[in-house]
Amino acid sequence: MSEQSVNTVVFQSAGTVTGVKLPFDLDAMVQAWSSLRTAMIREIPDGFTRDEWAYLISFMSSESLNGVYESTFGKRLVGEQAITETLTIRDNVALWLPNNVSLLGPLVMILVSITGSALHVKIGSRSENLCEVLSQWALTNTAEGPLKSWLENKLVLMRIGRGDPRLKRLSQWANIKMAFGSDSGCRAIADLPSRPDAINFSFSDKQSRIWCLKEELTDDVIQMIIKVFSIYGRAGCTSPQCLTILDGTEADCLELAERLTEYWPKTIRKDVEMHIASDNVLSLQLARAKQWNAWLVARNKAVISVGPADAELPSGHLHLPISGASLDEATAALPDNIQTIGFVMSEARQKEVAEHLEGTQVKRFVPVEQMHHFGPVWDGMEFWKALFCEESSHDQKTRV
Amino acid sequence: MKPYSQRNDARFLAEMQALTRHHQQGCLPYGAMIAGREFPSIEELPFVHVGMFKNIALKTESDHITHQRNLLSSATSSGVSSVISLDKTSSELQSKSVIRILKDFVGEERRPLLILDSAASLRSRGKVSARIAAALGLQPLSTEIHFLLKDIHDPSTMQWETLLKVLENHDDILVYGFTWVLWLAWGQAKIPNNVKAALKGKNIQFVHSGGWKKLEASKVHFDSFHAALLENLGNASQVIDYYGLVEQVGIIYPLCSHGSRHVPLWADVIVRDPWTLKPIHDGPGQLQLMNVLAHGAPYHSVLTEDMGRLLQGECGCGRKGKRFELLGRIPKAETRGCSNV
Repeated sequence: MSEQSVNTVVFQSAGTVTGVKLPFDLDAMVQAWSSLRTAMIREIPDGFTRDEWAYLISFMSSESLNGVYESTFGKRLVGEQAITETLTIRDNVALWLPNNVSLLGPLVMILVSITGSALHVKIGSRSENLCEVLSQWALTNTAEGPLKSWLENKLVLMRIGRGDPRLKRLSQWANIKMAFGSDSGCRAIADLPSRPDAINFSFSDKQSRIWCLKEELTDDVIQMIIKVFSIYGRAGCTSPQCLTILDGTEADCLELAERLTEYWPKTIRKDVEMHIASDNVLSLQLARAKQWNAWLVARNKAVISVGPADAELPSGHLHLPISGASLDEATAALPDNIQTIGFVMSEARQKEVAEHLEGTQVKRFVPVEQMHHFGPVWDGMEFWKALFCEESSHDQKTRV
Repeated sequence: MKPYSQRNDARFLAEMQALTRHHQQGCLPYGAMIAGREFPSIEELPFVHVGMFKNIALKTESDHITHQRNLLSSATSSGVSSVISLDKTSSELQSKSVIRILKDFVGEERRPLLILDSAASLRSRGKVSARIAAALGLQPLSTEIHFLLKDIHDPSTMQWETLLKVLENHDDILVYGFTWVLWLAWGQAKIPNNVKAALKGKNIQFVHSGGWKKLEASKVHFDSFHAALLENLGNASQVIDYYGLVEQVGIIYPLCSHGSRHVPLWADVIVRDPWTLKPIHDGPGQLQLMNVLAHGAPYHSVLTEDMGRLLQGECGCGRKGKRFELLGRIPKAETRGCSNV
């Protein structure tokens, strides 16, 4: 079997048959990540929360990782195929992570690894470095093979400050530049000297929201909302900044607030950190001072408030404001940097709302439980597909 | 009135209840945030979280209140200053309060006051920094005032000649500085030999505030801080570290010789469980500070982000009333998210 036949994976989407040439055995790489999951169930390394580790376990499954290829290029084919386009990796991916970034670093790292591209990561100079924790843990627990080789030879983690001259060299090295951060931070990274054909992806300030229907708010759904919200509070781009009951009245919102307040301590058993408990007292007072109806959840675990949909949202990391609004009012209240709307609604209403959102800035419209799910398309950008480029468009035949 | 003796709790409660009603009526955001009208005990009196003063303008309007200027905190941790609206009535009370408290520690005698700051820091219309407010709070204890720094941000601009001139004519001196400024400009400075000679045997009362955060980062220990300042000075010299917040202007808590911070009659301290906000009488918790001096804004009862614990029994220093130990700031960790926090 030729080297090309081992490393070319073929996919079909409609009339296009895509051969993806990879510098390693994709199945072995996917299997290596997936095999780690057994050990992951037994041990959570320092740095990761239980929720984050559980999500990684699910993300690293072979179904999930193969799904990244299939959702991008189509159904995987075996046997002799007439390839209509051949892709190869662009290689040299540079990733900038801010100090407070969550699981996004490790998730991007895994997605890049399954392309075989070299990845150099500028990590926050004072943050807990989850990429390093995961890569070290994986190195210790994986056998010889493409994953170990990639971690040892293709992954470079750089803990350097913003003014370090190596950042300029990193930018000049990269064919793909990806940055998570503030608007100004991403702009500064995009402005660093780059190769003329380098592709830049800036994942800057974004906001998300929950839209739901009153009749869908079962006890299970309420607990699920609490779990999703508690992962990052309002600190993530996928974190709901508020919850809107479509066509809900103030009484509906107050009832939901009461149920959330009741279920919160039963759903999230662990205490928040002391400074978060204190911040929640502050958030409560700020909300009340701005005329929102607000309550503290037992043991100061969170703040729930109810107010008008068109009012300025009260602040607070673990503060979930609730409003009732018509679909038009809820759409009008969306910020320009809206990313995800997590929904709880019937299929029929989903369809109507999805159509209504066409042409808006909304990048994702997903069930609430999937709000924090990461994938090859982010902020509306097919960043993962861009890690590949066309080698040639002539017909090729190869057996895979 | 002596600041430290047995307090009439009923009278204090009545004054606090009246102040709370006054702010509920005169400060709209405060009225909205404080539920209820009845606060039957000191522990049930409502508080304002200290962070509110960084986020919202809290000002109480009333026929009897004349607002004068804003007091700003140093904003070292968050980069955002607390803003306290100072009014005439409260300022007079606060000034008297600080003097009564300090006199209990440094004595009644007036003497030259040397301030480790620059005179230029005074020149700001309509607002005053916490540093300058703290320094000028000592003014009634002084016979004359001198500023010892040309630039507050540059300890090498220390005016040793000014100090020398004061030392030539006085044996007892009061010095005030923010803790880290006092250390950088004086404690660890290379003092010129002629100044060193002039300092020998003089009685200097160093009063400092602002906290130990910067010094802890530089690994400066409490004992070495005191030893450096008191080297070769007279026996009556002392270093007094006091705890105070701009959000509790007028009330300061000097550390006594037995390691306690005593609560004056016109103030109170409650330690609360950060997760339940219930009062804790015998363990560490979040400090709530109260005073009856704040009329222009509702900073009469503030939940701080500082930790402390109440100390039981009589203090060896002889001061009466409630006392506590300050344990430092609530530990903070970076909030994990993506980018938009």
